[in-house]
Amino acid sequence: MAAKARSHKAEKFVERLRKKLNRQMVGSLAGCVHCGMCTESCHYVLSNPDDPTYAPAHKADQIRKIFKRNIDWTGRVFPWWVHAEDIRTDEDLEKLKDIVFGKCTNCRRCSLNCPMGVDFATLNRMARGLLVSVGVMPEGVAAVSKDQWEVGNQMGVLPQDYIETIEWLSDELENEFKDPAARIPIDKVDAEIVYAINPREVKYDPRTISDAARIFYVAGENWTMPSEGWDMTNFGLFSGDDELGAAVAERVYEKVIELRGKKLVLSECGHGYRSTRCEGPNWSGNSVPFAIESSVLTMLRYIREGRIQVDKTRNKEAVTFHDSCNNARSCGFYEEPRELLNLLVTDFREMYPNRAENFCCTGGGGAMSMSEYTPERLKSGKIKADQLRATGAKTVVTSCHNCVDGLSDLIRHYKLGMKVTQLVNLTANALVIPEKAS
Amino acid sequence: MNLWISLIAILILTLSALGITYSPLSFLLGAILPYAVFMIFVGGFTYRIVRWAGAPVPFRITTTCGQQTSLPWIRNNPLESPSGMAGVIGRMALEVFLFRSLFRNTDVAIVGQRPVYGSAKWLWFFGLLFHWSLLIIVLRHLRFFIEPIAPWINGLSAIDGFFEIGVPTLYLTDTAVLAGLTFLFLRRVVVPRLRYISLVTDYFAVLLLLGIVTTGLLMRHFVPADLVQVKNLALGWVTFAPAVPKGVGTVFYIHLYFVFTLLVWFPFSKLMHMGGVFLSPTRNLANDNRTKRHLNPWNAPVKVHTYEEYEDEFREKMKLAGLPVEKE
Repeated sequence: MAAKARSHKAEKFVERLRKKLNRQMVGSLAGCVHCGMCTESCHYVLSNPDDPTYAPAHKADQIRKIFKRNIDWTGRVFPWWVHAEDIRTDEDLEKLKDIVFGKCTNCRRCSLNCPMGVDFATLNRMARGLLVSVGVMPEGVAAVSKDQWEVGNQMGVLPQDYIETIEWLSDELENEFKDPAARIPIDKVDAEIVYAINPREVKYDPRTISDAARIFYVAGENWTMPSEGWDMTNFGLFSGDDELGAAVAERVYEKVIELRGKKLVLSECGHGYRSTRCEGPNWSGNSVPFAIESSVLTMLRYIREGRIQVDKTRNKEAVTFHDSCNNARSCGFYEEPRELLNLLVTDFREMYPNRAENFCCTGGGGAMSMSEYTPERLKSGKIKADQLRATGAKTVVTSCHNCVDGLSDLIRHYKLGMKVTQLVNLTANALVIPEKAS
Repeated sequence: MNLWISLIAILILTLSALGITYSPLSFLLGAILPYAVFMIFVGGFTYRIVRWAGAPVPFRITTTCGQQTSLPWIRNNPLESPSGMAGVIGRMALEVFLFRSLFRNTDVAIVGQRPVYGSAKWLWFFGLLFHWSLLIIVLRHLRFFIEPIAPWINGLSAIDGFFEIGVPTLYLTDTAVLAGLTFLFLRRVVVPRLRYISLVTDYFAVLLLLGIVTTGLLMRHFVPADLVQVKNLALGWVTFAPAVPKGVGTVFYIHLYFVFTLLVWFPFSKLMHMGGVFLSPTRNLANDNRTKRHLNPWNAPVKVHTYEEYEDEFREKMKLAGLPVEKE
């Protein structure tokens, strides 16, 4: 039987699939034994118990069958035996889009229980990248990618808006401390720390910037914020577009090199931490001649080194901590936030399950940009909502901007009456401002 | 549906085994096929592993179920988030020998509005039971291929039949492998979510193994095969002087045919997880993204021809053509 001709896009999809087959992909494509362990670990399945199409093994099979039909010889010779199926039309691509973008947040919880180490999230990301490369993606993804390519940050914050925001935050800071030196330095050369943020902070939540500035000021840090390349988030990680990933990461690194910064500190963002610290150097293909750390680590160091004092009795209400998937499962960032939290609050309650086994906030490092999938996304958060409710805490702390939005969405939808905050806010709140010895 | 297809496949296999037994083709099965099968198995296995091993490993996106190496006073978890070779070996060893990831599995049920977490170790238990039993059974079968039988094989058999139940002694691993396979099969048929993701090949693998185990048990306990003949046959293969025995019994041929099918099919099926488990990058790499530099293997050096070089090459011609040049 001669294979029917594919549409141009599908043809390109298959052509590029062949080039994406690194070990991670081959292992994930060939390794699955359909044991079903991933089913029970996926928050989509747990929140939709009657819908087996959410099972990670099933979702992966939708990508696998294309691989089998075109690359694996058993699939080419006996497609009916191994369930190989080609991707032919643009409708097929659309269908695949709804799976890889709409039915998985790439949280990697399923990889933990997989006896074969199949990395479904990374496989899913690869499929996203292939779809993006032929222009098949949700509108939100296209809009955000465009902003990050063209404006330089994923929320389309214009340079003058960014600078103006930093300026008025500086003015406030100066008033607060009655010290003309209490400003946020922009593009200062040879600083110890270059501080990069998530554009969400400039646009919606500037107090996280001023809180961080307060901490840096009190610690007497020689720091700066770059005027360009300040967006350390990377939509390439979400959309699977390695080119975008490289361009964005490179933009951040180049600025730090230009400013001769000693260390790049990333504000609390799981997505940014993973993409800038762990994967960016690989995408960009250049070496990164400076250290990169999360601001959580910086704050923890300041307290431990005695550079700032904190008074934990100022944070008395019960808090629980949500591990961001990118920080935790993908980077191994578990105990740092807890160490810090224990120094900052009096009543810390772990949620269950926690650390590696924590459930996804449904934010997925960018899933909220796709409004067409919002109902399914909110429904998939049921398990998370139940988990949050069971802690009895009224505040949930997380170290990720995307989780803040994801969790806030769930809290509103499931009427949990909780609030979401970050470690930088708690640190600034507990910060003891030393009397000026003048 | 998938289940039926694989049942039919098994049935066809059985019938063709019968057909071969009662036809002159049994010579084929006893003397020629073994070599072909062995070559396909070894060749196919090697081919797959070599192909997989040759795939480039660009990123270190390990799954990190534990604390990374961080500030000196924060205790890291070398097994869950290894930062060096020793940790990786430990993690892989636990994975391969004890199926650690499966052990981790939890069960979640929502009672009222509270998620309740329980342990779900059944798959781990029966999976481990099945795999270890199969290994011991395969090792025990070496007694057919070696003369005199190595003492460790006899020792293994003795331990396996320690309880001396029945004559001939019932091997513990035989019961265990049967229990393991039955569990794996029933689970796939009974649990709806699992049935949904099961493909023909998933059922086929379990059914084929069940067929092998059943025929093996039949021969040992109910319709004894002539073991001397069997051993002669096996030794004949090893010494490259295959002789087709007479009257070893139909069951033996079915058993043999099933095993051959398994071996031929093995390299091209999900059973390759036997080799693939060692190559899983989420498990066999250390979490050292930033302490070591990892290069994309396909970032091939780009051959650049800069403008300066271009001008050097064509300067005279450019001047003649009246084009502006930067250097005179």
